[in-house]
Amino acid sequence: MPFAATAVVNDWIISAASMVILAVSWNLAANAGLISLGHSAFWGVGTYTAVLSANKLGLPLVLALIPAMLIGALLGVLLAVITGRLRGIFFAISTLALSEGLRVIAVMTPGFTGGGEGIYVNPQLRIGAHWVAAIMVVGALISILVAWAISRTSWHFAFRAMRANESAAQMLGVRPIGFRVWVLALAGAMAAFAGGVRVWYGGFVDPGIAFDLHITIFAQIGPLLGGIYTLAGPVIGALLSVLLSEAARIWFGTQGFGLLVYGVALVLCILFLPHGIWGGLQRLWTFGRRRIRGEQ
Amino acid sequence: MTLLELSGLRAGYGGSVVLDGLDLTVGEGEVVALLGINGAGKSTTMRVITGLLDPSGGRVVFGGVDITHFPAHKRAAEGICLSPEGRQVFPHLSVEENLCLGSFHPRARRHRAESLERVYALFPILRKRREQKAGFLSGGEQQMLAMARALMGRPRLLLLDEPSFGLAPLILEVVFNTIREIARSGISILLVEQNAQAALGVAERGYVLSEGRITLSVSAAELSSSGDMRKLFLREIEETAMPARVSVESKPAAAEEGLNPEPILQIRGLRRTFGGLVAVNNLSIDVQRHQFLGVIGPNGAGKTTLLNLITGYLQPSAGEIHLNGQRIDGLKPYDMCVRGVGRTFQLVQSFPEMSVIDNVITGALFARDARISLDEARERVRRPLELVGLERKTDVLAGTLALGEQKKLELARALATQPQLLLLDEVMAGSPHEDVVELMEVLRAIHAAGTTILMIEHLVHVILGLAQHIVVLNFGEKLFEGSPTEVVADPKVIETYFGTPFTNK
Amino acid sequence: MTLLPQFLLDALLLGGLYCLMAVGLALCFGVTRIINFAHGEMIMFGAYGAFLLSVHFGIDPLLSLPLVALGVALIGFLVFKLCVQRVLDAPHVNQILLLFGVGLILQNIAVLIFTGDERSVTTAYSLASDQFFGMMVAYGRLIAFAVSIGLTVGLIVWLRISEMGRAIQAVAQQRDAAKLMGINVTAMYMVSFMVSAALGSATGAAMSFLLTITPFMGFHILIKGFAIVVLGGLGSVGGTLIAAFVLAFVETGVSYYVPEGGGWAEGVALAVLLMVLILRPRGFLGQAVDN
Repeated sequence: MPFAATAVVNDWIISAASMVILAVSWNLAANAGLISLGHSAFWGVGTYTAVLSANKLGLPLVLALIPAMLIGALLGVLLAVITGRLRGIFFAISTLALSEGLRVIAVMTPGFTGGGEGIYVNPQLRIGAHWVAAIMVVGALISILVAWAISRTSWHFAFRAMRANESAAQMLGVRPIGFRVWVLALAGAMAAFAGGVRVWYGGFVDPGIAFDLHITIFAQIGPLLGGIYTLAGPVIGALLSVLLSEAARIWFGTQGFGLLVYGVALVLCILFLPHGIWGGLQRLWTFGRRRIRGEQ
Repeated sequence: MTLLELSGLRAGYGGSVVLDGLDLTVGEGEVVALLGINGAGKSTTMRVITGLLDPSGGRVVFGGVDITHFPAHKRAAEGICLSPEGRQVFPHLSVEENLCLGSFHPRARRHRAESLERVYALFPILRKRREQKAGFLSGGEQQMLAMARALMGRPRLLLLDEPSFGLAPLILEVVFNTIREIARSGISILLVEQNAQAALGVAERGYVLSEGRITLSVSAAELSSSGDMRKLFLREIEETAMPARVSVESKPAAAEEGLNPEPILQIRGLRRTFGGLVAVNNLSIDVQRHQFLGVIGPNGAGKTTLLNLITGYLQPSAGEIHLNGQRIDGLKPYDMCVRGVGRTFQLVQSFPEMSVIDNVITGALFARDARISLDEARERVRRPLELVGLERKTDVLAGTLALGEQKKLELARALATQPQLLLLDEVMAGSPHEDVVELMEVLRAIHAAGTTILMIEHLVHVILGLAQHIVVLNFGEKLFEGSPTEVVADPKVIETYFGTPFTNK
Repeated sequence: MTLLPQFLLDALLLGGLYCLMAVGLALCFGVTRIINFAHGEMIMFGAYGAFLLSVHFGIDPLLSLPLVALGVALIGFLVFKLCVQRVLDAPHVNQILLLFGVGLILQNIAVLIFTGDERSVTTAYSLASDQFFGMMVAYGRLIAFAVSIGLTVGLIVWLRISEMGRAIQAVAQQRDAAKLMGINVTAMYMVSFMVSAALGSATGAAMSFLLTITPFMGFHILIKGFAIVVLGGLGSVGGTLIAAFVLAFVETGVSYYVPEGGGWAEGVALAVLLMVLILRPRGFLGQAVDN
């Protein structure tokens, strides 16, 4: 078995790639001024849609991901419409409520979702971990590509303007609700994809796993560590956070430490490195360049 | 003996300079007036004296102690009490609770009962309203409460910031009579006022503040006759206007120029209330195509509310607005932009984390129904950036610009939307002298290129120099309308700006 | 099956607890304009404090409550001094995420110290109940209600009567004017933050003999707190109290009269929260949009 030796490696790749997708997705919304504390809602919806459509229709993973992403996008649209003009803290709380609400619904509709007992992916549809890893990596690359492409369109201008001052942006012809719908649909589809793929690795989902608050934390930690609102930052941060949590696991052994490390990293970053690692480097670079120019 | 001494004071907000080497003294038991037009730095001076704003240079000495970097709450204990601009009463607390808070610090708390009696004697109306929530008081009562609250702190120096603001003439007189009474009790007072006549009616000495510096200091002797006061003020304004030395020449009327006689913007019976306050009332204005219209009026006259109503940030309580013959009230700001209305804001609203050029590109990208490409937008912003003189700072983050530059950036951003009608809200504020002259040229060029402009400005000489037609607002209503020559000749307008002299002294 | 009076009583008792839980959150938000995402953890620590003192020293949760509140107020002090004070003027994003992170840290410290096992406090009254006029009255809930209402009223009286309480109100209403009165605004922020934490821990202690205690209990309670605070008009103490009872009545109603209501009741707070956000009462929207 050539892959047996690489089980740990597969595990790393899957968690790293899913962290990258979550980070890019979260950062995309944050860039437009929408701070999500409920990214687990998209992830969970993706998970359930993928499993249910696969089990009920016999779809293979790759096809099951299509409805998963559609429903994820739809949830994003719904969120955008519901929250209307809410900003900052009030948007954040609504996302938190959305995610918790979906968890309650998943628990309370056992006929459809399997309820608190959870459901298994039809074993016949499951595929090797290396395939799951490969799909997740492709997804991560595509998310990065999408984020990069967006940064080269007019959307990038609208998003940043909305983040800075949604009211003033309107005077320049920016219609915020339209952009909110698009960005949340996109972010939702990305996170739903990651959730859908991840469930093929574990093979099982219940409401607690699908709508876990930790998913939201995973989504934030990458951008904050690497550099919020930047392109490379979330990716760097996501990879680094996997490294951190693995290191914590190896050194301290217990599960609690991994999350404690995340919490500490989150707090330290906000207090002392508000632009993250990549953002900090960028600033250092422009600052240095200006100094050199100034001295000449 | 000197109680308060400010020397070489420098201060500002986020990189912009508001106070630029201000020197001022207040003697023990003296009443001093600090006068100047809006934006001269009067309230900023108050904020620095009370510690709400940390100065970037200079010294504040109070009673012989250097308090330049004392935190605000310690200064109250030292005996510096401010009745702030806009009153700032605690709206959900009763009148008496507000007053008790005035004597929060221990030195004043010991004498609370006694102080309460004193301020109630001074302001009998407050005793009647003692149980009422401060938020429900009328404007005049709130003003009295703010002053009484400051007195509760047993001040050695009482600072009054715009006590006349928004008050009806009758109440104004009551308030200023009380100030005189307070002064007689031996408390030193520094009074900031836009209503120069009223202020000089109680003060022994006066300073004129202009662009962050004292430009004139006059003693009681010079203030004796009211004729001198007016001269003083005209001189001050002239000084501000000096580099431009505007002549109010007659400019060609817009309607004659254009072939289209229909006004671009028609406002009919516009009214807007906030709670019980009427901000704009029964206002009708026509803006002719290619006209340069100026709107002036004292603080709180409803000028910015008018712009917010036109651009859809506020909905009118009554009345109609038509743009190019189409009714537009009820539409959103982005609709207005697409219809060719551009605007700058009184408080700077640039996008601080974006570069200058990106700010302006955003203006170019979304202003029309048909989207343009990024390259096209980059091309399109070159001209606006050159016009306002920011072409060398394109890659600088907007947040790091000085206030005047941010205003220019907003102008460029509004221009990038290629508006037919451009609304300007105090676009000159924060710009140094030289730039004001330059900006005036820029606006002339924009107007000459066919853009209709509606401009709000506190610098009267700027409006007089630019506008073809001027509307004067006061208390949300149209006070006067006419050519610049007519406006400067009208006694009503002069009175609104410089205040009415008091009969009793 | 169940009688209306029983429903009303249960809802009332639950409402009392909700009052105490939400009033701390509202106080902190009303004064500092920062929503304390770590408030759930203060509740959790309060519950564990009561549990530890009860198990190791046999102290009744009612007696240990002041001690627990003092201890958690100290945690609040540390959180404020080390973290919150540094972001008072920072963008909202930073404040939200910072306190989210603080909550994560506190929660996982609890996991490390107490493990994820479920605990509970047993007292003489926690299981006792009696029949009154055909209603089942559980003494534990009655006591928790009394404690909650007592503390809530205490807070309101303190805010209205005491010099410091008035100063805190002043800071909440006009920050700059409060400074002009000689009030140290940062100190008042700190006091509110600590009092809020203490109230949170009191909620936890009062719940300790009613609910199972885990390191994760805070999160679900916190979301209910948000629903109440948002429904109550953000930071207004009076509105918060009304909202607390509204939520309690609706939740209890759902669990009594809807099939499988016990599970759905968990979602009521979320539905209420989303509904308020969609319907947007005027006063609330004014703040929500203004960043």
